[in-house]
Amino acid sequence: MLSFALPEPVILISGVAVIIACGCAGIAAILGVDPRSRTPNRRKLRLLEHEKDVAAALGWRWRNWIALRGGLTLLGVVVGITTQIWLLAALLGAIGFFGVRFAVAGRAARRRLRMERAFLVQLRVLRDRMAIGNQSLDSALQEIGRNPGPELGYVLEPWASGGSVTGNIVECGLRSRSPIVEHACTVLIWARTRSLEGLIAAIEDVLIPVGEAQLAVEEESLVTLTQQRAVTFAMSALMVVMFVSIVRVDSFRSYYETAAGTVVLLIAVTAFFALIAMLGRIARVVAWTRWDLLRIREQEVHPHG
Amino acid sequence: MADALPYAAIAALVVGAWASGMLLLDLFAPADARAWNRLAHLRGFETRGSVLQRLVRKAPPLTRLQRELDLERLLAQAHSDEMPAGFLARTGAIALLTFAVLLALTAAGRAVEGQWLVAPWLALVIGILIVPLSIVDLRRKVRDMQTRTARILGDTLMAVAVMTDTRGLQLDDAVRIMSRCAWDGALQDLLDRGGFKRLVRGTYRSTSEKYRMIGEAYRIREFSNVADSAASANVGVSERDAYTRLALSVYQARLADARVRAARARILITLPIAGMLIPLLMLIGAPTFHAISSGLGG
Repeated sequence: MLSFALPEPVILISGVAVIIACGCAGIAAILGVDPRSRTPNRRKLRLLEHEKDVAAALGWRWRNWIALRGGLTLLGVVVGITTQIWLLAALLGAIGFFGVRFAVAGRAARRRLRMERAFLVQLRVLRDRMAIGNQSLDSALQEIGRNPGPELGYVLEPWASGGSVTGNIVECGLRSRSPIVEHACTVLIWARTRSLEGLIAAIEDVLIPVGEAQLAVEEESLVTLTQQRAVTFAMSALMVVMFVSIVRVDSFRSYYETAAGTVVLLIAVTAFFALIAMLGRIARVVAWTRWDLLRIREQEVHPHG
Repeated sequence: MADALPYAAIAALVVGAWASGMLLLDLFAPADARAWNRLAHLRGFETRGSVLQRLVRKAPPLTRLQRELDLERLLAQAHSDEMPAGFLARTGAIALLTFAVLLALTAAGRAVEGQWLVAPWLALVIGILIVPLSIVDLRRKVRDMQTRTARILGDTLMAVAVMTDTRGLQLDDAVRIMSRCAWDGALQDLLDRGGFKRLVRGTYRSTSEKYRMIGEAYRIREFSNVADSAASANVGVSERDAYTRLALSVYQARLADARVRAARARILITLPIAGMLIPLLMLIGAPTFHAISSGLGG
């Protein structure tokens, strides 16, 4: 029907453009991929893995964490519906889902840093037990696992049980969900099969100095994160106080119940989140490499496999 | 039909100018032919070349532009499987489809409303903009891939120091093993899966030389640093000391970078804070303006 109303030149030009585009797409499909390059099976950190990291840093079970986020989302939607401003229902739902993670991110980062610091202390203890106390790696790990301290109770629990040393180190790294602890566990796995002197030297010369350097980077990141969060909280509080004050006035409230009011609200909220995103970009924290410890265990057994 | 002719002519001219520019800048010449050209140039057998080619050689900005728009290099540095021709064809297809859809939508708006809601030449401009935007996006991917690869390589060094020392593994083997164990596959794609062969075609006699070539071709300084440490290890410095020192310098550089970023953030953070005035003023201003305007109207 509409095609009759369209001017002929437009149909002609659009049609030619579509035909050439299809030709280009065909060429792209035929010539697109370099036969020399192999399609890699890239491993990616899934969304759930990030959630598990936050839950582990908070010392929670990840299912409880997900349930909390789901519950807060539902609560936000219900509160939004009671205000009869429909956009607010969606907005509060989104805040319930994403906001809670942002709210606890600082606490999670601080707890993780404390755990990483405690782990470095335990590495020194491990070195001392082997170097001065003449203990074997197995018994030193068991002793440390029995008195791990409050920050490492869950993470070092496998060390206390005995059994496979590599398995226990891997389990410890998996429980920590911290890039720095995973990294240290990786080095321990590779260093452990040599003589005790070699392992002590590796801890003393490599693990402890590099670990301290990594912690210094992590501490600086925490400062940046704290700064970013403080500003975001202040901005959010200002926005919420202002909006609550506005909707308490009847004429303003009735305006925000109309379509035009909803559009204005939508634009204001979008601008607010754009500014928050800008803030996140300005105060970016250092990213770390995450290690697949199960794969490292496989590689340790078959390095050329 | 006559209305469309100027648009078609402009489109043809722009596409023609762009394609001939790319051809004259030698972007479609195969890498082997370019290598032969360089050899001929070194031996003094080179022809004078076209006026444009001579101009490019004499003007550093144009030479830089040619290097920056080298699609083969950019695609390889972005760890993409695509060929330059495939990339251009895909970009062309997206640009043309965007142009066709936007033009049809604009014309449909005119058919319904009786006047152009948006100027039709905007469809052409947006369609053309797709091409530079896709190159900008490719360059962004390159930067991202370089950062990720450098980060993983830096993070492998502590383990490499131990693996080469206690297990007697070769540097390259140790790095490749660790690259397989990282969640991010950027370093594995480049080293273990042989992605580096796309740009590093020459032969190398040692790991140090190989890493130096990769660092140069992919513009990742960390490879050159590892190559330097490997060279030190070859002349008697203990491998554990060499790679541990390098790991320490990597983290010191990251710390310095984090401190600089934090210092910059303290100043830049005022921009979003000042920007908060916009949504706040909108929230208060819109209903007030509406009330005033409806009061005046009533």
